[in-house]
Amino acid sequence: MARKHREHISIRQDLEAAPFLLPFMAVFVVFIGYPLFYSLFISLYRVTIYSDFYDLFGTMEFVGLGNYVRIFQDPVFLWSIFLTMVYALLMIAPGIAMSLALALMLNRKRRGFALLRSGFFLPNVFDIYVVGVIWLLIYNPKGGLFSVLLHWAGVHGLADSGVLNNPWLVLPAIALVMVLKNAGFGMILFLTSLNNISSSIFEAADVDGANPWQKLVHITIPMLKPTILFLSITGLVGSLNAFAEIYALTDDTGGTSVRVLDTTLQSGRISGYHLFKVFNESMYGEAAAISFVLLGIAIVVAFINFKVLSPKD
Amino acid sequence: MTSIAKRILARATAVLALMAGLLLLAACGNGGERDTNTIEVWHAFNAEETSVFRKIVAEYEADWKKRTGEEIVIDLKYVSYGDMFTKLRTAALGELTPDVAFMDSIKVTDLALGQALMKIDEMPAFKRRYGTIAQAREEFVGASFDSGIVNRKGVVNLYAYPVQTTTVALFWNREMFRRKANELRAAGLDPNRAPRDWDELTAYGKVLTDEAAGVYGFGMHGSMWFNFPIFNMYRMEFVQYDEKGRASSAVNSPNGLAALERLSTLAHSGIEGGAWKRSALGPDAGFINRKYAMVMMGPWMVESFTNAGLDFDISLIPGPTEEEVERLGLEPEYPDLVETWGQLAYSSSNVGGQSGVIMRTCENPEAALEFLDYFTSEPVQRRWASRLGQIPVRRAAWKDLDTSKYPFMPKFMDQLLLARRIPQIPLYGILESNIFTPEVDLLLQQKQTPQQMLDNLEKAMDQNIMVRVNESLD
Repeated sequence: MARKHREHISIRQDLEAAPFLLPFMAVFVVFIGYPLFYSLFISLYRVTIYSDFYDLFGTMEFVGLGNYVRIFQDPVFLWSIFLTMVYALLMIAPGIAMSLALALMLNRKRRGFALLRSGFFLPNVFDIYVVGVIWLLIYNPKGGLFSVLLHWAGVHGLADSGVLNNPWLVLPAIALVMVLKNAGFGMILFLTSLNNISSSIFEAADVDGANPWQKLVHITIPMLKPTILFLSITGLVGSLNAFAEIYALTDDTGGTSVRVLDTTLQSGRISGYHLFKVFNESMYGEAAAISFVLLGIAIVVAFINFKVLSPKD
Repeated sequence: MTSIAKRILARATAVLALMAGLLLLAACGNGGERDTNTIEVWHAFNAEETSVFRKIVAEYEADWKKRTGEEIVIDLKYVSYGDMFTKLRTAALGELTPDVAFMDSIKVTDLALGQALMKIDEMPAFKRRYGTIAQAREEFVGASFDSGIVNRKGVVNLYAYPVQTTTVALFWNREMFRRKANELRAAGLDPNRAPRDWDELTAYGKVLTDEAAGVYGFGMHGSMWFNFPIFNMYRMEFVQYDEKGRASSAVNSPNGLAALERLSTLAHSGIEGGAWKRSALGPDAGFINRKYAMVMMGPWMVESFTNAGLDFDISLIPGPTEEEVERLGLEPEYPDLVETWGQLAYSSSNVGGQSGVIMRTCENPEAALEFLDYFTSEPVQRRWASRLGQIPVRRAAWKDLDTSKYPFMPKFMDQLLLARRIPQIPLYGILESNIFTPEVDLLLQQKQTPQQMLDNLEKAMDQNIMVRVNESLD
């Protein structure tokens, strides 16, 4: 009897909650749910160059899984996935390390540190195109700061040709820009997390005779795992979607070319940029298929990250 | 349920009902319907051009009323040049396209293949006025007019009028030539004129280059569009169609090879400043900074170069050498020019600019065509040129044109006569960014030979573009 009464109350509460949830659900269905399912539907169709512009979706040809088969046979797409993984590795780990280092360095109440914190955060506010123009000047082979430093270090060949013209250095060069740009944001998150670690834990470690390195490895980093997890997953999603930085720093060329397995490929054509190019040529079916493959990759990698980095009880 | 919750619930319900009502009203509206006496025109003119355009439009509206006794409204809407195609494509999905659009000529092919445009040559007013496409072509700048002709599944139609045209020519820094006058003379070169063929340009470049000072004879573009003068000069073809409209790549030819060999030689002759490289000093910036003595550039940079205090001149782009003309059997565009112009008669260039198209949903296409005819008419084009310094698209307007305010305009007009259209290739964006740019990158870095590039180009074009052209024809 009591159980039935509880169930009755629970259903009534759900019904009462429904109208409050309805506005959000309506927005969700219209702007997220419907487009998601529609793009899944489109990924099974192909737009041809003769498809009627005024009835594009009506004149698409059903190809089943043809778009998925096609993109997995496309060396350019497979190359873009490989490059994305490389880019993610170059960006996420160094990005987290840099953010953490800045946070540890500035997590003190010293004169001028507030200004330094603001200074390191500032590049994060700038638009990527502004940052891109600044770095194009820095990477300029004729008189750019990077070129001057390379000449000074005796690496004249690379200094003259330019970092962005070297197919093996395009991604590291762009990743460096993004690590420096985003480090301020990670630093703020780490500073907040550091302030939430109870000082009593460090005091206990001091009593046990732990040195600063041991405290960092055994206390600080484990306590920061949720922030590291968050930065890893947002970094991964950022890498999969990365477009603006490639566009800005390669002048919309996708980077210097390289021959791989008898195919000419672009050294900066990571998946987000590739997706933009495919979409921009009205190949909606293929673009939708690429989106779902990227979504699948993001879910799998995020799940692995979550399993590895989730704090254990 | 508490009274507060009930009140919130009632308000939420009211808000939802209101939203639903608004959605219903929007759905019942007549959306895209337009008055047939209104011609909506999307254009991408800048502020200065728009000001002149508005005056032309006001005069057209007044003239229409005088002739017909009826009102016509030319409703101008600005859309940025780079976004025009995307916006037309998106608007087409909701049948919200304008009646007329002035857009990048390169994109006409994609819109025509997608049945988004009216076939202008099939319209009665066109037939009355011109008769055939060939007869109409006689009245316009040929290369610009050709951009509106599209082969769709083997059927050739005219889908656009040129409304704005431009091209590139050779800019050379007279001051830099003067400074090296003695050395140029010693090398048998005239310091008071620009080179006439590409071997001569290389010879000039060798004298003008001072690598230690970061000064080079020539600054070369890496993009496809800017290198069309070289491709066109050698008559390199990109695509060929059979009678059924089946397309195949035509790049792999002796002419294509000569063009790519010329690009490769230029890049590695020691006279080129690496302007084609990413993050390097581009041709325009290098010319302004007196780092490149010669560049291929368009009229849009004349003002900047003049304001920078440069002493420069503009000449026709050099032609092929006599040996190349003979070996490749090249024919000049105007044979009677060979005697006076020598190798320059074989010069060529690219064509840029905008085309005026009539969208398929236009409810009054005859009026739209009449507006296009008015805008491209001789007096209007003459005014457009004298006010803005732009080359008229109608040839009749070239005669006795007052170019005193724009002394370089005649040089671009000469160059435009020798120019050829950008090849009619669907998915031009894919060709340029996915195929040509990566391949030419390897060529200019000396990581592949011109013949290897041609082989790769042909294969990539067939796999990525031609297959899409032909798949629906099988």
